[in-house]
Amino acid sequence: MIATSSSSHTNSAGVTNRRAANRLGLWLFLASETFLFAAFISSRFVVSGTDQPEHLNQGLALLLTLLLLWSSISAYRAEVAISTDNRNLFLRESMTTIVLGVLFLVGVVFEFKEALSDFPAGTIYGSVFFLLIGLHAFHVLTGILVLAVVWNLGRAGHYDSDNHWPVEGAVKYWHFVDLMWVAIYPTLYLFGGS
Amino acid sequence: MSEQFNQEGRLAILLRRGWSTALGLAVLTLIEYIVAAQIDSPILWLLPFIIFKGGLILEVFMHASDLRTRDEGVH
Repeated sequence: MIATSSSSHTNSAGVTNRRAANRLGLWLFLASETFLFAAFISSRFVVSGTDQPEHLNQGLALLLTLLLLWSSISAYRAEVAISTDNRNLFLRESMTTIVLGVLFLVGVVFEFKEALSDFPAGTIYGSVFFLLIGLHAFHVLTGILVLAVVWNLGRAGHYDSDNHWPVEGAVKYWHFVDLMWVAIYPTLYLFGGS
Repeated sequence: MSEQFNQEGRLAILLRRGWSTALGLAVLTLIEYIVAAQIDSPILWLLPFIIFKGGLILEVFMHASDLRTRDEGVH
């Protein structure tokens, strides 16, 4: 009996340590990603200061920002739902996040189409614009894929309140993508002023 | 029964917290947009918005404080 109790305590400590290690690993990965984004964001100021073209589609950019914000709250709700064993809410909210992510990408395609005629990728601002938005859109795409895997496994009965690290990791990554947009949006669209 | 009630109560509190944060972020984004439209060189005016919005996402949505406390996930 004592041996069983001791073994269960050791297993529980092992799970806690593994989760803490997973979490630290993810944060280190996100920190390295931050450096990548910081390098691209700073390149905008190095090559073109705070100048920006007149024909930026401000309405679409604001809409994309609000879409990503909405996807962040649905991702948060998905994580909270599975942490309280509410599987239906988890599945619904993670699917909402995926759909909003796809809508964001569709918006980016429209933005690219317009931007290509106003400031082609060969121009100074165009090169920075397409690099930054493209880098971010690629992260949105990978976030959608990860969330789709998590949603599919959740549908098959994986994850509960005690074991949902993959959900937490996927959702954290999604919030990171939103966090980077918080910096990219004013950098490309707002710093040029009125 | 009591455990289920606790889970539902916790869910409601966490969801309310998430909605308040999202509402705050949306309002800050709209103010940021208006400030940029009104001011000629708004970079210094916009920086506090970026920092505050980033802080909210890190703390509420990403549970950055877990790194200090080693708490378990959503709390």
